[in-house]
Amino acid sequence: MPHPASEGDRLHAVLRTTLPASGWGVSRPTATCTLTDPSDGAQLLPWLPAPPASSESTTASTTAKPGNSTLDAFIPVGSRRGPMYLRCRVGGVANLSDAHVVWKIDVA
Amino acid sequence: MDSLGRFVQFLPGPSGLFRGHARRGPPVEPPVRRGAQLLAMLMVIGGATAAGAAPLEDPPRPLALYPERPGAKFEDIEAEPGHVVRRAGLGIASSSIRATYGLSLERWGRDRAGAAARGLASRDRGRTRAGRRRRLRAPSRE
Repeated sequence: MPHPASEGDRLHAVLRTTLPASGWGVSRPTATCTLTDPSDGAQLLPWLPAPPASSESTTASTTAKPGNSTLDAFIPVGSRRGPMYLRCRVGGVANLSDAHVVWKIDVA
Repeated sequence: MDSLGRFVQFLPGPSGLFRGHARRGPPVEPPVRRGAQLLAMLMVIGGATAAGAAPLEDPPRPLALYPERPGAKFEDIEAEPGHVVRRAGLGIASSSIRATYGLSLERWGRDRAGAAARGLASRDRGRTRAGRRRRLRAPSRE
């Protein structure tokens, strides 16, 4: 099933990552997110700022730079409203766990 | 056997008491005790090092805040928007190879349909069934 078209309203979520000031040295973290609508269990995947033409990514993720940075995710919610759950994993090669962070948000 | 020979049998060491224990089969205590002491010492050193260098990390807590959430997983950390969740990663910070990073949801909002969407791209391009078929066919053409 192809990725849904980026038509209709989008939810723009901004994640902030705080990384050690001394840098990571091994790899830069990436965020992988899904939005779950509890009314019907639909899982929505984000659209993200396009990567540079030279890089080919196979996951719904974006890359953060060391330091404090923000990650933008654009999720095609269409006409959906109400409480939803945003579930994100920040990881990459240097990640030590498979933990995901979940926020309940009200999509107005 | 004279009295000196009987006395030697009860001396600790290979020719006395220790040899007797070893022959009868019960575990030899000195090496075991030495090992336990070494282990305890390593645990103390390791614990002290870990306590000093271990980053603060939020443990997974599924269904802690949102008990009604569908599809919860064991590794989920539920948080309020704006709350910074701390996790450990592999990196170099403060002379440690473990580093703590924070993640928070800063803000969210609805972008109306028709708003500029330039530069957005689906990252699952090529992962669809048709895309996989294309990728699988590609090597045979070469």
